[in-house]
Amino acid sequence: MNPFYRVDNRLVHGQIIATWMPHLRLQRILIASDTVPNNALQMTMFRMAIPQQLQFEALPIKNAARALAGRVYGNEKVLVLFETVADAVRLFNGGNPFALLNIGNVHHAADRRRFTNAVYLGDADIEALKGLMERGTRIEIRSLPTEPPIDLHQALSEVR
Amino acid sequence: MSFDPLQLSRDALQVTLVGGLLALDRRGAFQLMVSQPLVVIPVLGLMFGQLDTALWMGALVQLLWMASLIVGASVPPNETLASVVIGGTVLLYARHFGTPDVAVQAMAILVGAPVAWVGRWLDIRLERENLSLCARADEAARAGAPFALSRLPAVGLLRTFAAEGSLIALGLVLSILCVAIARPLLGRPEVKAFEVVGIYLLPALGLAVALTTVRRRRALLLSAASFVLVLIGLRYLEVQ
Amino acid sequence: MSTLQGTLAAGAPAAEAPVRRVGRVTLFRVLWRSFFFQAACNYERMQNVGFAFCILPALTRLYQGEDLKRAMTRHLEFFNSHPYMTDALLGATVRLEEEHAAGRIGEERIQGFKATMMGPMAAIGDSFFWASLKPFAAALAVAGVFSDVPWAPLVFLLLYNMFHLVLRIYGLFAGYRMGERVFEKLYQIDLVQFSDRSHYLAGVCIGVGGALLVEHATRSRAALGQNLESVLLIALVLILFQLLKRKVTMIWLLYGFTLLCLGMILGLNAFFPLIERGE
Repeated sequence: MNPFYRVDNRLVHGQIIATWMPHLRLQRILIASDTVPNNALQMTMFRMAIPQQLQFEALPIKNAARALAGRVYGNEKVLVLFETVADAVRLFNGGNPFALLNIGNVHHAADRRRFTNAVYLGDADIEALKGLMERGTRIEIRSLPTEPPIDLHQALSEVR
Repeated sequence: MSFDPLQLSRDALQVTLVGGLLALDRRGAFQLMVSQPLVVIPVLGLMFGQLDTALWMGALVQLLWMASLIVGASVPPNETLASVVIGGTVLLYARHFGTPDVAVQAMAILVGAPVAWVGRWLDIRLERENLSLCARADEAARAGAPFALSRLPAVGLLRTFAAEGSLIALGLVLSILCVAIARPLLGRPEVKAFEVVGIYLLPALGLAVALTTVRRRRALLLSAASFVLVLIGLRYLEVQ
Repeated sequence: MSTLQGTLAAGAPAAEAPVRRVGRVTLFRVLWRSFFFQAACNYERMQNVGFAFCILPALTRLYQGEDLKRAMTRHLEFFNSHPYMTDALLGATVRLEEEHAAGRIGEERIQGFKATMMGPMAAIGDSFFWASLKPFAAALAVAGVFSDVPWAPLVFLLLYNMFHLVLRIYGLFAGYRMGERVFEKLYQIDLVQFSDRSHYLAGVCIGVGGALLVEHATRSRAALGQNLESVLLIALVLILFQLLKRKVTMIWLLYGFTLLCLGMILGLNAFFPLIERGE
């Protein structure tokens, strides 16, 4: 089964455990990040917050790309979480292109444009995501599985 | 029963004030869950001496919005505002127009339900308006003025109370007018049809929504098993 | 300089300014304020005003002048977590602020702690309180109402707030006592396991409530016979459940099926007038 890729700057939080986990029937959560695996406190907290029936691991982006491209998880339903859009793009370019990227939460900063209440993207993010879209990846903005997804391609063309 | 517009508006004001206060509990203050339909409608019922109807309505409305969750930055429909309007309509109808039969209850739910979605829109607007509070907090921090910061949540609560209270009042007036005008126009077939909606459709929909909150497959089986057992048990008792 | 102190703090506690404690009264003030944690939620930084508001009594005791301004600004950064779980974080953050005021740790340690904890704390709180305890307690009380227990809503409030208030009050003081190690306490309580189990309890309650509801609906109206009506009603519940699972929203089902229902009954009645008009 294809993994589900999501950008969420809060990583594992209520939306993931209370809504996406049952919706996707998740079996594994994989955090692709170069900082999280080295943060002991964060790793402990994630282990605690994730129910025991789920597998959990955090890998540096390079290793995550290798693992995903090599299909080491077989038929497991995997959720791949990124902290930033840039991390997602790095995994994509690091040898693991994917067809759908979900953007769940990217919070506000001074130079970012508002797309929804939970998603604000900067120019660099938008350029990087355009690159992915040109290579055929669909990018949806959606915090919860019950919300209607917003297609980034459409959202960008409506503004122009 | 004689119709007294002054008394009706006084009662509506009472519902608005109590409902608006209870609605603050939903997100802004305490979150003791007194803002759940199951509690809100019976509280209003106690005020008007109609506890039995109110309990029943509270439970039914609770089921209908059981799946609405506040997680992270997403804003769900505001079931508290809807339940104040629905409960208020039934209770005020009982006080001023006649017996709130099943048809009236079903109509109140149908007319009041959209208030939850208008309430959602209102909540989103309020969070946007609160950006000004955020800016004032930054200012207070720059000035090193703790009192200026300490005032802000009260301002937020007042805004919420004013906005949500207005929505309750508006919804309540429209809804009670709708139901009070429409109910006498119904003939027997229409009343029967609304009874079917109130007795079969709404509980069935409520149960279906409640079932979606059970997130484990085996728990659903357990649910089905206990359902069948209790139903058979009740039938058995009846035969005895 | 402050970073250096932060890294040294663990190993070299001696020869530093003594840590000033904020005292019990201040902690109670923080606790009281935490009940208004979400009163000024905003879109850009979510609960930041709430967090700064709650921790302010501790800040004013620890800092003055420029330090106070800095501390207030520090807690107005983006924050978003679960309101009840935040009490444990507030307690721990007060402890960290005391250490910072004594010059033992740098402020980025406090900010890092908050940023690290808010997501997982929200995951635990959302799945325990919103997605598990609330539906379970509500289902129990709804089943109670349907079996004619008038104080069922009180049971709902008591059951829910027993967990809620204990977690808030205990969380704040445990957080203060343990500082950054507050997660160890959470490990022991293991709310995650309970979340899992409560779905089974909620399942049973909904089953029982459903049976009572079906019994009530089909009791006196024997137009089709009670058993046949029950079967039809159960079929209706299953159809609606499947539609909800397929992302049809409740509001569409509410109006769609009502129209269908009214249309069918009134339409049939126009051809076969079983229900007579007038009194």
